[in-house]
Amino acid sequence: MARDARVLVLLLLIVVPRPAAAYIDPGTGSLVIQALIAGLVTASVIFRRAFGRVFGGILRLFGRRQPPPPGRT
Amino acid sequence: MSERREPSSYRDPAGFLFFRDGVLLRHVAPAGAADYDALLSSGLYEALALEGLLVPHEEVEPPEGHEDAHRVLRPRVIPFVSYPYEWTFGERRDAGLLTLSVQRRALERGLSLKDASAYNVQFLDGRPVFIDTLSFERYPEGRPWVAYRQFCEHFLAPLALEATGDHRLGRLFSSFPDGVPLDLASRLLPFRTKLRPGLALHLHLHSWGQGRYSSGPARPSPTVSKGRLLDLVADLEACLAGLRLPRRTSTWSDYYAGTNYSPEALESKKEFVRAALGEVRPSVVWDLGANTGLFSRLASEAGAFTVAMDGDPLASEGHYRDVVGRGERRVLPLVVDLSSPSPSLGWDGRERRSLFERGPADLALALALVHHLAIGANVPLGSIASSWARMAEWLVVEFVPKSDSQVQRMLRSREDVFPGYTADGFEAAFGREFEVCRRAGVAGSERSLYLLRRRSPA
Repeated sequence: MARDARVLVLLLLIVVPRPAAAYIDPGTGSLVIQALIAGLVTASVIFRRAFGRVFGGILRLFGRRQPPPPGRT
Repeated sequence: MSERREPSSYRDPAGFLFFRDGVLLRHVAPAGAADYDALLSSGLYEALALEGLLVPHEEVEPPEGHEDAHRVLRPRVIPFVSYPYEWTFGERRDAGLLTLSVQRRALERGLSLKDASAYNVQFLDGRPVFIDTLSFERYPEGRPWVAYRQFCEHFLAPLALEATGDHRLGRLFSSFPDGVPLDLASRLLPFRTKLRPGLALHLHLHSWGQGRYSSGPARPSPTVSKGRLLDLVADLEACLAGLRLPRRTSTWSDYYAGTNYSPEALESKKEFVRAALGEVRPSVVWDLGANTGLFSRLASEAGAFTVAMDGDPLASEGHYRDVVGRGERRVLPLVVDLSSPSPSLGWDGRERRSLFERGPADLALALALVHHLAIGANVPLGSIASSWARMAEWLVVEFVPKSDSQVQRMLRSREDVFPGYTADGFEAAFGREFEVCRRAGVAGSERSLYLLRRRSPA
């Protein structure tokens, strides 16, 4: 698991030699793991959207109508 | 002419707060000039101020001694400065959600919050407002959010501990006034929180990553796109919004529903308090032991800004929900243990002011409270009187005699070492600090109410 996480971190990091200057200490470890966490969050957003589309498509396939969007009668 | 610097305003080289002849002003230093100008030119300041998310200010002429300032600002004054360790769960959560809203709007306009301290939020007109105009910086595309860890330590960690551990863990904030360390939060949180995606990522994985990557050779800063940062902010918002205190009652949160107050006694107390408020016409009231705010509401209806303090987090949280539900703008519920009022904290012992330093109020309400301090906490009556004389010029106080069932209950399992706890003893002790302006019995009980005025200035 630790190795997987390391590989993920490396994949997600596009190394740019630019320090994250801040007047508070952002924490080196926190910055590194933020890249991983932000990546995982975005991946879950994409997954949920895709799942919503697939699930919506299956419902349509079986003739279950989606409720009309608000404002249309 | 008098000038003093606000003791808590020293961290950020972009500027500082100071008081000039009692007026609060903000010095924008040359180091903060470009970011301040970007805040204005991007339209972010105007948008946030219009929505009531950021405290409004006006630019004023730099006073003598501040000629080097890029700008000098006069922000709208906050009537009572409260601290995160005094907030209820709901106040802390709303303050966190406000910080995230501000960060989202900032990112959308090419800026970002460079800190996410809970002390950057205050309560104004019944809702949280961001007060640090210099917390914004221009956002270079690809940079991670430098305040992510601070946000998690100041908001997410204490909220998660309260919601999933114990509601009293909010008090941990006073032991860690600069935020609850993530490794401590991760260790204290129940195992089931590792199965909640938001808490698993932002607290447990975050804490692990901090330990894993904080040592070793210096690393270049990773890149996080703006889109991902917006997703991160949205995820934190969902995580905070999903945290709720378990439905639980405490000794005090159901006090008025379950006490021995008859409707007649309650009405007679209300009448006395209304009359006192009408007579004194206070601008600021402190309701000590406010419970769920029955009497704070009377003070607010009389036009006073009321700080409602109670040591029970659930009672104060119930009060806050009621205040929000009614759109009440003049009552601020806080969690304050009145047997140990908030001390001064932080650097030099002056960064966060004690409760006494934030007073005095015009009038304090202390209803059904004396016996809890005198008998429950063994505080001598004279000491209670001198302490409250430092809190307010006027005092409405209720004396509950030993014959009352509430006091009997307190004495049931302990020795009565309070021979001086009598109506005469009470009047003698309080008479040294206050003069009695009015006295009345509470109908249908042996309790007494007093309207007192301090004898000498504090």
